[in-house]
Amino acid sequence: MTVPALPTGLFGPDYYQDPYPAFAWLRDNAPVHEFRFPVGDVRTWIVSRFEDVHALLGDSRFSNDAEAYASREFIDSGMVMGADTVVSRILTVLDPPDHTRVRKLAMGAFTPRRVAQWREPTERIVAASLDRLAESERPDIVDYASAIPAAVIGEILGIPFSRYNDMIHAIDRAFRPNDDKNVVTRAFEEIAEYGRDLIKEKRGMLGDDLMSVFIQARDGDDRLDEDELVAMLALMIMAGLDTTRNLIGSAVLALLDHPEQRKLLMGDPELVPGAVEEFLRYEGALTVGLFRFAKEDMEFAGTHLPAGAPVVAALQSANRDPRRFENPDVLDITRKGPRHVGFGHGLHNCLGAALARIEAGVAIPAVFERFPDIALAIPRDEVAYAENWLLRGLASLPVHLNTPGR
Amino acid sequence: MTVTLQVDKSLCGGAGLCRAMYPDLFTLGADGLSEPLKTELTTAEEIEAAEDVVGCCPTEAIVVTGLDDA
Repeated sequence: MTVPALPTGLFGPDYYQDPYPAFAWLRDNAPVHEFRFPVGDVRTWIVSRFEDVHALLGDSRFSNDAEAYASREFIDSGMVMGADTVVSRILTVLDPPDHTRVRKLAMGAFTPRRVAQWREPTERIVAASLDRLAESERPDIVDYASAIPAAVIGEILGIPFSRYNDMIHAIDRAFRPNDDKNVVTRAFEEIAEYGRDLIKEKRGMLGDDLMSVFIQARDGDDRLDEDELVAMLALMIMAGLDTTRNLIGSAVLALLDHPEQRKLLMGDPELVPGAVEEFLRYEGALTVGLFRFAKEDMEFAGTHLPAGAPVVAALQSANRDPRRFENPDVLDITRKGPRHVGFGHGLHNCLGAALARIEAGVAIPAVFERFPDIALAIPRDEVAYAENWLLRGLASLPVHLNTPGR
Repeated sequence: MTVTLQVDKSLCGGAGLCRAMYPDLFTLGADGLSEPLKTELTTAEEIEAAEDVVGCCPTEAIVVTGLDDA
């Protein structure tokens, strides 16, 4: 019996617009699928079923640390995240005990209890962003969604993120399919350089904000080295800006596509927390997780993996797996039941999850509350996702705030 | 004094960080939430491990009691 081919090439133009047909094929036909990752042309495995993604992310036989464990082919391809910059030592790729030391420093600031204090500032920031949206000649939800996390994380760190648009562009270049390694390296270096600038500025005016905590951990008791301090800022920039922006943008689109769900949400504010979980499942901020590397020769989910094998966890495939979720392609903000992997799982589960939940829970309903007649300003089939192998985010979402003719 | 390890299931979100860090001390139950494999910690290594998890858990669900009284 022959199996039909993949509906779209993985990490190709059609896939970026709609990866779900390819994910459904993978889950049914090749749950641990070997292919050549088109960026860098590297032998890679992609894991697509919920159960396997969950297991992979919690399995200590894998590491995110490419420099320590990746195949020679992967390293030579230039795919090591932030290679030749401090980003290569970012928390996201560290293993214990370094991971433990660095994560402990930041985690305290982002627990649900600690981020609750940022709800009011977030509401103020969202209101101001809605004012700017209202004044905009070409209102775009992605512009709105970009400004909010930048302002919130800026207040938490205690320094204005005035260059957030430059950073969003740099993050885009860093994970955009590009065969020119120098473009990618320069993008990571630009992010690190901005981190260095912010640290320099902040060192002269320490306060009780998070960035002062990080600087104190470097200058005071030496719990971070200088590169780790810069990498921490790069982490805050990379993980704090684009992810929440994507989530807000995709969720607004989902509610424009599903007026009945939108009506439901606007009629009952108590549905907001569950709705945010559903947005994270339905169209989470990351299509796939960062590369994992097999630390040894092994069997994983019935497949032999050689030491150094780069493995990709298809988060959005797991979140749409019918083995795990009933009617997974249906947006249902009242959905109860199993947890999604929109924030990942295991050692590197999202540090900023609680903050993202607050930002999304405030920013998404606020759009429809302020502009009940909001509608797309372009045909639905012209709405496009950015071609980014890691992040799933709309490039733009032009809207009419007050639908003409109504 | 005995050092005890507990998981507050009302706070746990099933992120799985505890089990990924110390599979000898934590597992995930059928509900997807964390469960301690040991509730009484005796060695310095175990106590230090549990404290590491307390500091890294994203939802402050890990509870270690009986410390600092010595």
